[in-house]
Amino acid sequence: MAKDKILSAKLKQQELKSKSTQLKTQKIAQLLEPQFQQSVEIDDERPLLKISNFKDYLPEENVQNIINLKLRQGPYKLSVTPQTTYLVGESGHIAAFNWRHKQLECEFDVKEKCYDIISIAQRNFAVAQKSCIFIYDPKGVEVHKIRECKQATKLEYLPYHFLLAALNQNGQLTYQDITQGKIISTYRTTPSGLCLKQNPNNAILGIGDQMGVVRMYAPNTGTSLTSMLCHKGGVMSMTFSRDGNHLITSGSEGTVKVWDLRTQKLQSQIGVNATNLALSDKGILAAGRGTDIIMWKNCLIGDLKTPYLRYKASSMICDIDFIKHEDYLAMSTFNTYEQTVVPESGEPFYDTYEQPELQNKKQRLETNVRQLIEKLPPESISLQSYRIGTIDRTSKVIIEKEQKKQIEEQATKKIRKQKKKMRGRNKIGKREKLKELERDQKQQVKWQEMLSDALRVKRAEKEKKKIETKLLDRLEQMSSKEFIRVVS
Amino acid sequence: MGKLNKEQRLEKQLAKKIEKQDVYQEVKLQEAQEDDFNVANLISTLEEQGQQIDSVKTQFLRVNEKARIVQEPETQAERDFQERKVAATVMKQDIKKWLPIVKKNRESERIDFTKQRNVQRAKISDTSNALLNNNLGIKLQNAMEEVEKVEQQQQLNIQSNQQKSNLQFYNDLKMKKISSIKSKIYKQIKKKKGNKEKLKLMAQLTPAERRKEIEKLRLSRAKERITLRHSTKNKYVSQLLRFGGDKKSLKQQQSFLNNIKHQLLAKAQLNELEDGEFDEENFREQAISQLEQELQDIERREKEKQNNFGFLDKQKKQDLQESKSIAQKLLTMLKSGNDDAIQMEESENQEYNSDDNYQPNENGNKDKSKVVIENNEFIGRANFVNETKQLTDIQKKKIDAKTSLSNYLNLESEKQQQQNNSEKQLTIQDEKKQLIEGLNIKNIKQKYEKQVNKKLSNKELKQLQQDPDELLQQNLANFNLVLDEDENENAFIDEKIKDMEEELPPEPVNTKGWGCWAGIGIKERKPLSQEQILQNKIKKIREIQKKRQDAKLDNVIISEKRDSKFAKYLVPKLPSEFTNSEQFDQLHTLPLGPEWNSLTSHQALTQPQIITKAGVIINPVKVPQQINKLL
Repeated sequence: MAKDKILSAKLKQQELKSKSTQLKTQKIAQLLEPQFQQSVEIDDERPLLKISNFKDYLPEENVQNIINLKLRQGPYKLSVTPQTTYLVGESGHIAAFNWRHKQLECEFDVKEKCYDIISIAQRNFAVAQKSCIFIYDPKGVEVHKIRECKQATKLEYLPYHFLLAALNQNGQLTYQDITQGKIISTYRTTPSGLCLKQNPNNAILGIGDQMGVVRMYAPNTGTSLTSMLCHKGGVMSMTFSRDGNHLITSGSEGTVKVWDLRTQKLQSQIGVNATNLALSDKGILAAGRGTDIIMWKNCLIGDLKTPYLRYKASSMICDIDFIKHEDYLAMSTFNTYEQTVVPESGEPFYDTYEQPELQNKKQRLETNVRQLIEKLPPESISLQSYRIGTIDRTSKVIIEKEQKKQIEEQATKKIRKQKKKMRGRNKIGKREKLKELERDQKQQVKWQEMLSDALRVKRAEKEKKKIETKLLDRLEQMSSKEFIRVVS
Repeated sequence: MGKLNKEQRLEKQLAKKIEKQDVYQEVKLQEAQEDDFNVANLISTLEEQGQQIDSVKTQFLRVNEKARIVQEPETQAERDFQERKVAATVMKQDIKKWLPIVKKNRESERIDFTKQRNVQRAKISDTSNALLNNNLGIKLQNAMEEVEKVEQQQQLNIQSNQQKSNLQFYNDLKMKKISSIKSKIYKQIKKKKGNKEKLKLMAQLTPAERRKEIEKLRLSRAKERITLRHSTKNKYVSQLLRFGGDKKSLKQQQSFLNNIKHQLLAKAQLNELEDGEFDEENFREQAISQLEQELQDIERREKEKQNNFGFLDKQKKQDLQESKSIAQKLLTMLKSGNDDAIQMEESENQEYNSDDNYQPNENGNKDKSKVVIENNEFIGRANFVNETKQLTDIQKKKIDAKTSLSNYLNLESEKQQQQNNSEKQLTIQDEKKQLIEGLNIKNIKQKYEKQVNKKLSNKELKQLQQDPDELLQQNLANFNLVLDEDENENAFIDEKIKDMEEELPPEPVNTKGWGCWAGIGIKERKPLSQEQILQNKIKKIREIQKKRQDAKLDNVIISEKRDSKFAKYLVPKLPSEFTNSEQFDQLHTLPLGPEWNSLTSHQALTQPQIITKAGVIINPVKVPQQINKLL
């Protein structure tokens, strides 16, 4: 401890306070927990439990939200919020509807190839189309067109930083600020990126590679922060846990692996050939393969042997996502959009910064303003974000170098004061006369070059003519008869 | 204008046909044709009239000379004919190489197109002794003897030699100076001079000789057209010619070494498969007789004349002494009958063979058939025939005895290795292997191999019966199976090494002559070879690797670049109150906001130190007494 008595006393007080507050928060959490949690326990004899078996025992509210929509235009991608779902087909069919009240919000067709869709702030949504990225209103009106990022295939939205991240076909990653419309950073990542996902704790983006490597990126640095070899095949899809400590990946060689990101080691694995993965807030893992979906309950602890539920869709699955704060799983296939019940999947508690759905118009406006004021700067994204406000532990030499550089840059940026010019010298007429003179001088040089070339040609022609005339003069002196004989 | 008869006309036409390709033809101004209008006719008419046109005439003649001698255009048919002629000669030269190989393949039973790679490097100093066994080496030796004879004759005329050498030296200096000139005008002038001299020479020759020389010129041009063998002097080509395309990257060298290793392993496996009966007494007798012959050969070779090259002679002496010492040792051991001593010697030799690929074993014990085979490029087919058919019975027995002995030795050496596995120390060769193979994976491989080789107890066997997969997962947490080679894995390791190489400081450039200013008498430093540079590099990389965060994790790269933009959220210096950074950080462990705490605790945490009620009078600040006294 410190030698100062005052300091040591201060620190002791701090400890006492922290202990007391922890106790209080624990008590409150116990009080707020739901009193009876609905849980389905499975016997060991029956390894799998199909959802169709217990569909009859569910309450009516849940049964109403089990949806099966038939669609036509191509494989679909989705993004789900607690109130609405956004769908986009590959051929250009875009739709948004409120699944809670069963109301259609908008539906239209852009006759263009579409790759991905994602919901952003204020119920707007962004679509990655073939030409560029478009941002639409909740009613389907085109608001913005982002021309800088072309041929984007994957989209991701960072809600607390108000950033839209897009991955290109060539592996270019761009961060766009939605509030100001500024591009914060663009750089080139791996050219063979297969999936893009954010760590909700860190706001760091992970890109799964075709070479089986997962790389983490932040807008500050152009290079990858960490890169981890996960699979022998390519990384088909991946998810992060809510607390940001676990990463789950699925490889094309037919394995699903759970990684601990604190030690960066493998925790557990299972041989399932999964194309899509989704993880709920409570820790239920869903893996889609073909038309089946298999779910595990305690995957983060390491129980991957006994699956929890199984669901069979009507056609091949293209995208999966859990709905936040609800016990539903949404999926989009080649021809359908489906929604089923998964008990014990949703987290009932809201985060304090999150925007709850049951709000007035006035409340919503206020929260929007508050979120904008408390917007986090994009420079604060890093792996060491927990160290904000602490002491910099790098060596002094490196810090001094950086400070010197900054000072030099500032000095170059400073605009020198313009001299006070005397009166009358800076007239517009005089300035333009000088400009005209410069123009004339340039033209004169051009003409001189042209003339010199032309003169050379003329002189050469003259010399030729002289020789010819000499010969011709002699021919003229000949007698006419002989000359005619020679020519004929 | 003089008229021509019919006979004269016919003669002229015939002459034209015959002398079409004849180059030089005197301009017969007097015999101009009636109907044709030529410049020659015109000039003749003018001359007859008595006008002065000497200047025009000389000009015309000069132009005619030039055109007829050199720049007479060829027809397309002629050009095709020449190209066909050249192509035939080129093809004949190409086919010459392949004829013996095709012949060999036709006569043999099986066809084998495996091409032997040149394992040996083309250093004369390394393979001086081996040269003498080859056909090429014998040719070289004969050539050297002839040169010596000529030199002995030339030594008689010492004075003339000195003059010649002086002249040569002068000429070399002159040519050096000329070659250093870069101006274009000088080169143009030089070219014109050369052309003029050529024309003069051509004018002196008779037409038949001239025709031959021009045909030679045209053929050489045709050859260029076909083979596209221009004298290109790009940077790339010049480097290829200088260094022989031997500049290789780190990755290429590793793959090259690995290839050789696999080849040798395959050979060793083939040898092991062959089994035969082993007669000790016969083998011993044969070996003793062979060794005695060898010693005689060595003595004879030592008495022979030395070559002019110093380094060749030195190498030769060393090799002979080595082989002599080995042969003498073997003889003593064979005569005394200590088999244990032989085993040690032979096993050492085998290791030497397997690891150092550049220098093949040059003992006299080698069969001559093998030496002959090594000269040919296509070995697979020839090897089979030589071993089975063409060898005599005595040679067959030798081979059988050798293979059986090698098997016998290998078995015992393996037993010894198993006993002394724990006490075994890393030799230099093992270190080399480590350098070549991956960096940190070596440790995991050893772990895995130990587990495989270890004898399991009953408890462990029970565990294995229960769940063998979990044991593997625990031990190899980061990789499923490291022993299987993977494309992804190799690419990732390359990336990791490249990341570490970026941290290395740039290498100093080695320039000859620089860095030795001290004066005469100091030894000249030898520049490092490529292998030494590679090894130094790997040592430095290993030092860096230990300091990194991901030293123990093989499947992870953590970048150690500093995020300078994030640094503004950190405190650059420790405040004056605190002694450690940990004390300062402890204050930030507890969040104060209402979002993370209950309302009461939030109020308690953010309570001010001094609380004053409204309406209380606050007195102005007084100076304390201690300071007041001082004032």
